[in-house]
Amino acid sequence: MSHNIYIEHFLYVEEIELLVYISLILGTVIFLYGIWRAYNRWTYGGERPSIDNLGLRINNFIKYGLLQKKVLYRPYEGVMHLLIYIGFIILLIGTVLRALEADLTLKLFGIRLLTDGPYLLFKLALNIAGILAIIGILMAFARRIFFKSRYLPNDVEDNLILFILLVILSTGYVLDTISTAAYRMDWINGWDPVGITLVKYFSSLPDIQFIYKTIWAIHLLLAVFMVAYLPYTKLFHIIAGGVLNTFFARTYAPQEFQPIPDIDEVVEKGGTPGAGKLMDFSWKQRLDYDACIKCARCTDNCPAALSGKPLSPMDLMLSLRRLMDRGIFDDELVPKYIEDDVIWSCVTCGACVYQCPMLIHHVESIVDIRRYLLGKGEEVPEEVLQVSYNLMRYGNPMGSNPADREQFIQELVDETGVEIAEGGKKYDYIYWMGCQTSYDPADKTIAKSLLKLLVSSGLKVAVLPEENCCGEPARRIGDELMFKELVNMNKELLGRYSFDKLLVNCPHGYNVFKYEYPYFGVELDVVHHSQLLAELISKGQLTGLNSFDENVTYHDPCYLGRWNNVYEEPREVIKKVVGDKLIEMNRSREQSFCCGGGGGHLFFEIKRGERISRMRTDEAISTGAKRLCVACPFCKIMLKSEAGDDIEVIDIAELLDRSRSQDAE
Amino acid sequence: MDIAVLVKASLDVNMIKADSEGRILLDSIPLAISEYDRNAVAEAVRIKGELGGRVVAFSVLTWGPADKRAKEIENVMREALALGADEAHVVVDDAILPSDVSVTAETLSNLIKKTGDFGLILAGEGSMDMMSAQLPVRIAYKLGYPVATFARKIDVINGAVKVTRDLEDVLQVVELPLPAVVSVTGEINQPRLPTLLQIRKSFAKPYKAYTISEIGMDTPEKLFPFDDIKLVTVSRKNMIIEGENLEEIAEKLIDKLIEEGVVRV
Repeated sequence: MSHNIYIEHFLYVEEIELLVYISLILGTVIFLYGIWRAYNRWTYGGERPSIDNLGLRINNFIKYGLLQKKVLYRPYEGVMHLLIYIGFIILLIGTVLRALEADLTLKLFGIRLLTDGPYLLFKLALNIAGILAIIGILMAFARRIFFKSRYLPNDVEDNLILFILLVILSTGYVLDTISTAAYRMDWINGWDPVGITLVKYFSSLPDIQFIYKTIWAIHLLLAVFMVAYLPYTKLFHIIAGGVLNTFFARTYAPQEFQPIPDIDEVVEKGGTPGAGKLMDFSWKQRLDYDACIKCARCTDNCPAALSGKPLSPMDLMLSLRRLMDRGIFDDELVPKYIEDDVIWSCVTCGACVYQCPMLIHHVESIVDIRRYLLGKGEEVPEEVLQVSYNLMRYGNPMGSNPADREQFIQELVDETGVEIAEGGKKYDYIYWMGCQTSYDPADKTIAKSLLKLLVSSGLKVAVLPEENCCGEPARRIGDELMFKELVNMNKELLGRYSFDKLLVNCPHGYNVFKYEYPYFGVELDVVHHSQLLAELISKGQLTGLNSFDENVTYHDPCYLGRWNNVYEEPREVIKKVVGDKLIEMNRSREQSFCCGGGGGHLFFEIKRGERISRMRTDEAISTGAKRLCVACPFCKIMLKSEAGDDIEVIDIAELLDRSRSQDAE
Repeated sequence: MDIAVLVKASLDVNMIKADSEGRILLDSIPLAISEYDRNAVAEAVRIKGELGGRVVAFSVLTWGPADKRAKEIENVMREALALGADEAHVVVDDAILPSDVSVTAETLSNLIKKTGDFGLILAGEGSMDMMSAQLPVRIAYKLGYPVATFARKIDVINGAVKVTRDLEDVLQVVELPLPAVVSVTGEINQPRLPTLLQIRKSFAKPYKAYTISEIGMDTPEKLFPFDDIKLVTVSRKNMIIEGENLEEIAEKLIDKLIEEGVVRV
């Protein structure tokens, strides 16, 4: 079969054609060794990837890998990456097609793939793809030079890779243009826009064959070099992140911290649960470390990093990766390789997890290290051990006397008319007050306001005569054994009562009851008070609400907002009494900035840098609002302690109650 | 050298409960390791680290009822084991409950004698529930050993122990030949808090509970009536002192303390 248009392979470069095969074989060996090395370090210790939930996994791969949902979430970086991504995918397909034709179909069967129409399409597609990729790379350079984010690394590797890609792309165009110049075929004009545009600069060059040959070799060797070293550079994110980490993404929700099923057995045998060494992490966690692309979106949004604490989620991932590079699997991580304050700085706000385009779960690894440190009782802040000890002895993290709670319950009965739960009776809601609301004077008022609202709206709600800690602080500081104990105690406690829903005003309790208790066989229908209040408002069951004519702002608690997607209900509650006077802070909803009290930090402080609570309070004050509404007792304590007289920190239930009890302005 | 360390399962003073008339509900207050006894255990473990030997923790249940409290005293002793003691021996017997300091001293010295020879016997300066601070002295008397109380520093050198005693106004350094009894203050060290995991692991260490007959003791005469303990409510003044800087705040605080007669000039 004869064609009018086809590719003359290896034109001008027949004598160095061998270079293709030598470099390709060498490159493939280097590349495969890198993949093999990576697979071995992920599966070090014998754990193998499992492919359960195939449907969900394929879906995740398409959504986050192929379609890059989380990359596109940032407009500039999203477009920048998309251009490079699409550009190189098309170029890769084109190059593979051409190689297939040259070395397979043509040699073996005498068949050409790229002829006539298909060839013209091929030519045009590659022309466009190259331009897209070049624009993307120039955008990347522009970002690095003119508006780099605070924590974006900008070292030689980062820039060199961009530069090499740029050289590969431009040499590709030069080769294209020279062949265009050589053929001087008019019919190709529309299909080779770059070649045609540049051809005039190349037609008069002397010894064009030599130039072509040299550039061809450079283009070839650089391309093979980049592929060969892909598993050793940040470009490995394509495989470890884009393909594998999206496909093998956690199939549970990120806010479901995982139990250690055999914890009793581990302790029995004298072991320490959690991750003390690299080899204690799961294969998936080690895949996380290789998936990191160093975009720094985690660290740029990390309250610990931004407040001057030593934690940078990205650097932690990269430190762990470097330890894999060095093959240090069996050495204790803290304090030799990782400073203890790094691990204890985390407020578990989840900003890093939310931001990460590669679906890395930084907090999971941090909690695993905490579990180990706490189990050993070494490299743990004294106050953290105190929390753990208080839980053991008093059943609450502060070490408060449970008798005080009994007294407060009586006060609630007298003032709000709420019932104390009794076995055998049936309730719509059991209100789990939680430790802070039970004991802290700043939070007790939330319970009073909430119960006044609920009792008056006719709900059948009861408080428990006794409560233990829900276990959230235990889990976040890594005291998994204590957590398990508390879950079992609360399972037994709640089992004594009959109720439809468990009502909480603490997002930490909300998260732990909803997502972490089911692993221990405790299934509860959990409602946060913002959800219940919003429902009562929409049904018209809350009466006598007056409106306030003053600006307020709202702080999204991490465990209600980012981790649990409850953004609207608290705002509906606030808007009910302030209308359009709700001013948003710069960082709100998914971007919300932690109050500083998560991850056990309500009970201890890493005294380095600024206080996170101070930064957040300043942000609230800068809106000019008179009140800072919260929906979490932790947030209330943290922010109130910084607010002074500058802004009033108030829970949404208190806001509603206040609007009823006094004539609003 | 083996070290005996005395650990009390005290009423947890942070968990006091009283009825409406202010009578303290002794039976519903949980037991906890007495604060300074933790210092004693930590000190014993430190000395063991230097000189070797075993650290054996001893206790006598002083608050009943025995069947209900047996588990509680074990938990207290597990805490001592979690802090590094090697084994624990306790006496749990309704016949001595509630026990006063003289009965406790009698019981403990019998238990110690029965268990082995100890070069050093350490105890907290006093228990957090009764704070009589008599026990170490009574034990020393019964065992015929010299005693030094309120130690904030201990050095064991060549068969003797050099003790720095904290007498509030002065520090007194004394040297006792071993075996000896020493009670320690809270300043002697910073004991770490055990985690639940460490306590769980301590279940691998020996723990033994005896009745008084098992240690060769007869039922003692009870001396101390415990049925009339009342809560004394202290009203606090709740003053908050504010100022521009630390110096100013400190000045104001001192003035206030002088005004209240707490501090004399």
